[in-house]
Parts: sequence; structure tokens; C-alpha cells
Amino acid sequence: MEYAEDYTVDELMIVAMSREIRDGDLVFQGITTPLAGAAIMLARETHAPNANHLYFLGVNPAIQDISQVMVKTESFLGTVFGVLSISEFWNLQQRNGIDLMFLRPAQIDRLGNANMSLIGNRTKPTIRFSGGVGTADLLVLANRVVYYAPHHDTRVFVEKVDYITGAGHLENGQWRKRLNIHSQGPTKVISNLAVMNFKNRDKQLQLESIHPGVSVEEVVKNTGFKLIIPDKVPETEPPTKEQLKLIREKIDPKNFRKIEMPKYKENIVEKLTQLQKKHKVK
Amino acid sequence: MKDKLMKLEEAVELVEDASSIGFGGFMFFRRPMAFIRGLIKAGKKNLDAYSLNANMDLDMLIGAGCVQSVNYTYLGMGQLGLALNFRRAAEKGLIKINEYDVLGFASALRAAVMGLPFLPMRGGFGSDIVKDLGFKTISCPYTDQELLAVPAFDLDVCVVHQLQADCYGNVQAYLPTESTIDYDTSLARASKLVIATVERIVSPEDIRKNFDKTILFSYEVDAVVEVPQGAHPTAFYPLYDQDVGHLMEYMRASNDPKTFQEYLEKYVYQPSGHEEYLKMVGRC
Repeated sequence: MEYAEDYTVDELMIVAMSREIRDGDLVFQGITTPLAGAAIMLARETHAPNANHLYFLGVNPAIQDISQVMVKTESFLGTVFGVLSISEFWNLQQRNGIDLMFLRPAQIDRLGNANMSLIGNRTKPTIRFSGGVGTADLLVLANRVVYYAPHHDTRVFVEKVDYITGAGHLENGQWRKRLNIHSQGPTKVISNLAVMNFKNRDKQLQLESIHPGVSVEEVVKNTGFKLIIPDKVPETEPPTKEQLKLIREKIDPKNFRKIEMPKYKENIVEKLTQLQKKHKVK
Repeated sequence: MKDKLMKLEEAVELVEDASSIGFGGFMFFRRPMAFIRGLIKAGKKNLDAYSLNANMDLDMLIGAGCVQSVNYTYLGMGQLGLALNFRRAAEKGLIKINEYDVLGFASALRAAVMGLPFLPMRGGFGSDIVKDLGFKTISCPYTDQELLAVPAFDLDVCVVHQLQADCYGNVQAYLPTESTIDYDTSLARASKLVIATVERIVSPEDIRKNFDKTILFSYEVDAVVEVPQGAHPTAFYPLYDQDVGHLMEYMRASNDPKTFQEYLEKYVYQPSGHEEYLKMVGRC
């Protein structure tokens, strides 16, 4: 196994996210999340061939160019084995059928609460987002949730979220036990700077590894609360040459993943329009 | 059986001001957009609008001043960005906003479908969402497990857009197993009045011939309206694709209240009806 050298941060994030997938997991992926999509495809193609991939309501889309599968809501038809009815999807969630979900909250706080609803005051917010969809449910019912944050800064990592769209580890990590909730809630946070976890008694966010080229100080400076720093902070394991080749040549040759990265924001609409125009419904 | 075929304008008049109204479709497909333009043109006011996964349907109604509350789990323009009329109205505090978690919305809908006052739910705990929606807790009489009790929706009317129907209100889908068809049928079975807009009207004989495509029956549908391309600019798989160019125009227009009024003028108020709208957008 040889590590790659010329990878970019989105590729490093995909690989780190992919490592969170265990063989046999049923992983749910929401719409407009190519980083998560690429991570799941990569895991299925490498260490987790028995993982099941639910893309929106489509079951196990073929491992192929994700822009073809995900560019439009209905593009996955023809790439999947079949489609769950939405009622069956609701049932699956409620009976704890989902093992893992990736979420990209607008704000994440010290205890892993996620905000995808609004910034500021709830009756007259300064920004109202599109909403958390299943966030509140999946944080209770999916066994594990992994957050990802392509733009690690003090606006995303805040002491206390402005609105709890979905709960992390309330009551210093005690409330799940109190309410007899068996899921683990958020287990990891993967940002463009570091990998973090909640592996301490109070379930507070803690640094696990820093990405190559990033300093601990940089992570601390860009986090809006006191992040727990263990004595030893290793570097995040880089992508292998095999993983990088799969991402670039098989899973995402059109760089669809980049739409989730901050500096590509301005081009998203243009890029998508291009992709959507090229895409033909089968 | 009663003939329920009517003109778009007549069906729109079945919706009273201040009704609670559910909209079918999901993300950028099968939105009853022709009907929504009809509601706006008719100047409907103070609607309580429900849409599971909303985008242009609710955003357009908000921008046109037709709603007093929105009820959704997602209200955004997907990859195109935030829904801008919604965002403006929310940030000025102009409308009541009820963001639901998916299982909250689903439980409220299914309770209504089942004729139950509420359904217990295991999701949503700890979130401000269930707090703001005022869901109360109950304990399971068998295990003492704490559950949320989600009250049933009380929907006056709903509108779904599907492939075809006969004049009696037997409605068929292109692909009955398609993932979100059962959101539309649940919505219909949870509402007191059901309006189905369809791409085309077919004969009862045709319905019988394709009986495996029937998703709603005459006894549960109150009005049928023929509006070809009635989901435009959203998609109707596999008949037509979403109109990306028009959606971009919508995004640009909704960036500002003044340009949005111009958009409404051009595409809703000026055209004499659905047919003229289709000519304007090059779909006729």
C-alpha cells in the first residue's frame, strides 16, 4: 500500500469519510452531497464491499461516475437495483435500519448539536436555511452520524448552535442513556483541517488527527470553542494511490465533489447547469 | 359516477382563503405548478401550505403573498441554492414557519391517513424542531419508553399532479412504484378535498386496461383538471425534464421583490391561462 502525494483536501476528506464506513453498514446519503456519495462508493469499492448504499431512495447505485447518478433528483433511476417507497424509507429509519449517515450542518457545537435551520433569532433570523430534513430523526435513530465540514471556521464550529435542528450529546452526553436511546449520535467530525471525535466522558468535541500541512494552532484558531486537545495528535492518514485513482478515474472524473467545497461556490450553478444539460434521462 | 372534470380556474375556486392545503410532488419533479400559478392569479390569501420537500411550489406562493404559514421538512432550491422568497419572508418575520423533521411530518400525515388523532414517534428527540412544533410526549403503556405524540394533520385540500385520469377521478401514475408517489397518495387520503391535475385525460376503458397504474380512485378524488406539462418548470419523469433555463430565470428574479413581481406579471398575471403560459415558455 502506497500513499499518494498529490491529493487535494476534498479527496482527503472523502477518504477520511470513507474510512468511517464498516463492511455491512447500511449507509444513507441525502441529495446534493457528492462528498458523501464519493466516500460511500469508495468504501464499497475497497474495504466495505458489503456495505449497502441508499442514495435518496435508490438502493445500491452502480459504482460509477457520481455526476451521472446524482446531478438531478431522478438521475439515479437506471443505476439502482430498485427504489424504496418513501413510506418504506420512513419505516426503515424508525426501526433503526440505518447504520450511518453523513451530514453537513451549517453549525456544529461543542456537544455535537447540529444546526441546519437558521442563524440568529428564531422568529426573525438573519439567515433562514432550507431546513434539516431528517437530521432530527437520524441523530436519534441512525446508529452513527458523521458530520463533515468543508469549511472549518468559527462560524461553523460554535460554542452553542443558534438552533438545535438535531441533537448531539445533550446533558454532557447523558441524555441518550436517560431516554433509552441506543444510537451513538454523532461520532466523528471530518473537516477540511482535521478529524475530530467525541471520545471522552462528557462527549465534547476532541481533536483526533490533523490533516498533513495543518497545525494544531490553525484548528484551534478556527474553532469557536475550547476544543479538547489530547497530548498526541497524529496526522490524518492520507489517501492511498489506489483510493486516489478510484476517486479521480472511476467515481468522480468530472469533479462533481467540488461543488461542496467553499471556493467553488460561485461556480456551482454554472457547473451544474452544464452537467444537467449534458445529462439525458434514460 | 360523477363527472369531476373541470377547468383549472374552476378547480382553483374550490380552494378557500385561509385553507390548509397540501402540495404533491418532490424536489424538482411532479410539482402541481400550473395549479399554483392558478392560485396566485386568483389572488388566494392566508393559506397554510404543506409540502414535504418543498422548493418552487411554496417559494412562489410566499413571493406572491398567498400564504400565512409554511409547513415543510425542506424548503430550498436544491443545488441552485436557498429559496429566496422564503428566505426574505422568514428573515422579515412575515410568515409563520413550521419546519418539521421528516418523521414528524410523516407521522402527522400518516395519522390523518389512518384516521388517528396522533401517532407515536421515536425520532426528533432533543431537537428544537419538536419543541417548537409543540409535540407532547407519551409513555408506551407496555414498556414505559418515552415517545413523541405527533398530532394528525388537518388538511382542507390537496393538489397532486399525475400522469392521467378519467373524468370520474381514477388517477394513474406513470410508474406507481416510483419512490414518492405514496407521498402524493397519502396527502390525498389525509385531505378533505382532493384535486388531481393530470397530463392527460383518458377514457375509463383506458384506466381499466392499465389498472396496475391506478393510484387514486374515483371515491377519493373531487376534481380532475387536464394541464399538459402542468409541472413545468419542474420535471415529469419520463415525459419531460426540468427546465433548467427557466429555473435559473426564477432564481434571478426571486433575488429581489421587484424583479419577482415582474416575473409573476410575465408568467402568471399576463398569460390568459395555462395554454398561453406554455407558449411563452416554448413548450407548446
